[in-house]
Amino acid sequence: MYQYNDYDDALVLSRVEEFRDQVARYQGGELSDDEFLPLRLQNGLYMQRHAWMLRVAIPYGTLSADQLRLLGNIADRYDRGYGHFTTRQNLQFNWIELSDVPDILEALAGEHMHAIQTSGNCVRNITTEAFAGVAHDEIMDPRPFAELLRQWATINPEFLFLPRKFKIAVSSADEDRAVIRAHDIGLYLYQHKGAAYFRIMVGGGLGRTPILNQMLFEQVHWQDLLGCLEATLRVYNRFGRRDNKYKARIKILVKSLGIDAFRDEVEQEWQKIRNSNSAPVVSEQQLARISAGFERQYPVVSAELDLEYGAWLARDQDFAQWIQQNTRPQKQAGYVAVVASTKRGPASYETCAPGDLSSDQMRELAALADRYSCGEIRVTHEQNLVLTDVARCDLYPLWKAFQRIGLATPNIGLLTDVISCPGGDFCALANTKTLPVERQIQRQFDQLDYLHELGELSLNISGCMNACGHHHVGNIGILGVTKNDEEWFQVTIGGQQGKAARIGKIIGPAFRAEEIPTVLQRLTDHYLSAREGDENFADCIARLGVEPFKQAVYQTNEKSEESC
Amino acid sequence: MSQLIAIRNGVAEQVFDDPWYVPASNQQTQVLKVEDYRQWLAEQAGTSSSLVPALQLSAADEPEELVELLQQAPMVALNFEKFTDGRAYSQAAVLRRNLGYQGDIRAVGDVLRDQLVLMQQCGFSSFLIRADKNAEQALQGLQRFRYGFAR
Ligand code: SF4
Repeated sequence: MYQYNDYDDALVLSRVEEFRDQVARYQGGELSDDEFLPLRLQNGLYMQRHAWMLRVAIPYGTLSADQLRLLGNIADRYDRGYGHFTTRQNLQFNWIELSDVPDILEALAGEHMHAIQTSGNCVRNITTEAFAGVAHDEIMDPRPFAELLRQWATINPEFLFLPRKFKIAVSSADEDRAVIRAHDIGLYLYQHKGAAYFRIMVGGGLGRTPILNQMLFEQVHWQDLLGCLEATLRVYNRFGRRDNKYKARIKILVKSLGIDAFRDEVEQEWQKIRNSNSAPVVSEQQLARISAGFERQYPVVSAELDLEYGAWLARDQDFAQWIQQNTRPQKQAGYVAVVASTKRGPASYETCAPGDLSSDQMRELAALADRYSCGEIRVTHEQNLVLTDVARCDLYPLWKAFQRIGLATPNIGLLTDVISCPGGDFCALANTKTLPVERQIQRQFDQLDYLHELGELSLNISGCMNACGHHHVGNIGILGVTKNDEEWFQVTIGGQQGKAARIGKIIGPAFRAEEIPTVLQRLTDHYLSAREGDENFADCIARLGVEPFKQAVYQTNEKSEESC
Repeated sequence: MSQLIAIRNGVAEQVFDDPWYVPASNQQTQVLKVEDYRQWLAEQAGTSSSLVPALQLSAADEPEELVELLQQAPMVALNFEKFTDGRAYSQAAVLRRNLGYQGDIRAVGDVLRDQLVLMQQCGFSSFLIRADKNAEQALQGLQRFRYGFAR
């Protein structure tokens, strides 16, 4: 895993001391609430409904086993024994005391971690897909570039008071598994004549005005990337709206100027930066140094051991199903990436939310990463965890261990692999709770056979318009709204992630929480009766349109009312 | 008492002898906004005056369009209407890096201790601390926590 250097560590520690001082001045009345607000947000500290929440940065979603163990220990010592992994691959502690925060940050710094820029109107944690470096369809490893961006964005003084938050993601595979199209800046890394280039997409975002990003530049050489981003951010910082929070994201600026005029502005600024020789240029050596941190030697694994694996596959149906659903091939022959599901299905739906891990699970998972993987854990944007580089011969014992700690639900990519924001149980901005709805869905769809028959289907839940659960790009999206002080849920279908991302359409009037399981059942039943061949849910909606699904949901509704 | 901090010879210090600032009244003097500066330039043609005024920009002003004024002004004040409005950081970067402005770049308005290091890194060289804040303490904002952005 990439190791931070002394400079990074010194910077993080100095930041901890600075924040300790700021907390003290806030508590002493020297800093007002308003003055303290952006300082604490830039250090990952939110005020939630019942308590302080601390969001810890997990750069490009990669943790070492030691870091995960530390997170588990912090959860025990300072929180209620668990943590919550978010859709942007960070980790949140929900029950924190303000006065403990400097100590927590100091503890994090001991393992090269921090909470810098995990919130606030600045460049947030840079994300990439969880299978970076190992994906079978990878073009180039995006992590060195994600790290480069991390260094560039961290405490970059010009861009800490932007009009609004700014999210950047990188992907470099045939399939986009990093929701690139929904980011303020999305980067597709590719190769051309032996060199690395970026296709730069700008102006995406969900929230109140869901928009997919558009192409800013088709081909930017990797050495020019930072200069180009600096120009883009500068144009946004200077001309983005600051009068209305809901119109302040870069997507609104891009939309109001039009992509071509926006591109002109960026090009002009970029040219000036180049003329002034102040462009941040990355040297070959710098990239080589960073890349070396991500390289790994793969011992050749012998085919003989695969026989045992094959035997288990034949003997144990449940194991075979888990392999089928929760593992992914790697480009390194003989190795497999394994997904630990945090969506535990009916087994424990009363006790945990999607993305939650108890401190024990964190420590157990860290030990498994040391034993069967490479001492490294990845966080997926679907709020699951990945161990890469598992040899086939280790899959069976690993599966057994996952079962023991409750992370073996074979539902990755299926309906019950629900992405959900924390909703009203925690979040102060929420219109509705989300977790009870998620639990009802888990209860309704507790038959694995039915889920497997449905196949690939993404379900996303957000507790308000801010869309942290990415409901717009779920095949089925659920959005909590309030009408006359009551909780209602609006259902969208046909959304999709990936390179051909689509925003879902609302099917009609909203539902009460208790109706949602039935609504979903009608949608999925209709799909099963209408699909052609092995067409998946999203493709089926793309072919038929929303209308027949809408009828299936609402007409049946009327009928059932008549009959009672 | 002076609310003005400046970086002189690489050292941040409280300043009492600045040409455009009167510590006793905590007021700026001879600091003109864009229109007034244009007027002063016009009236000035041919004559030589003792003190050349400084130029104050609002966050919406575009330095690129004011090159003529910048050639004259020994100091440019960039105004933070609110400390959360980050436009002046980019203005300073544009002034220093794109336009190669060599004079003093001063932060005025909602200027607070916790942002001074960031301002300095973007090219600001002096800071007029908000009137109700303690400038001596603010000075510490520049002296501690030196680790910052590596460019
Ligand atoms: S979508 Fe709304 S309710 Fe959910 S976490 Fe985001 S702000 Fe909170």
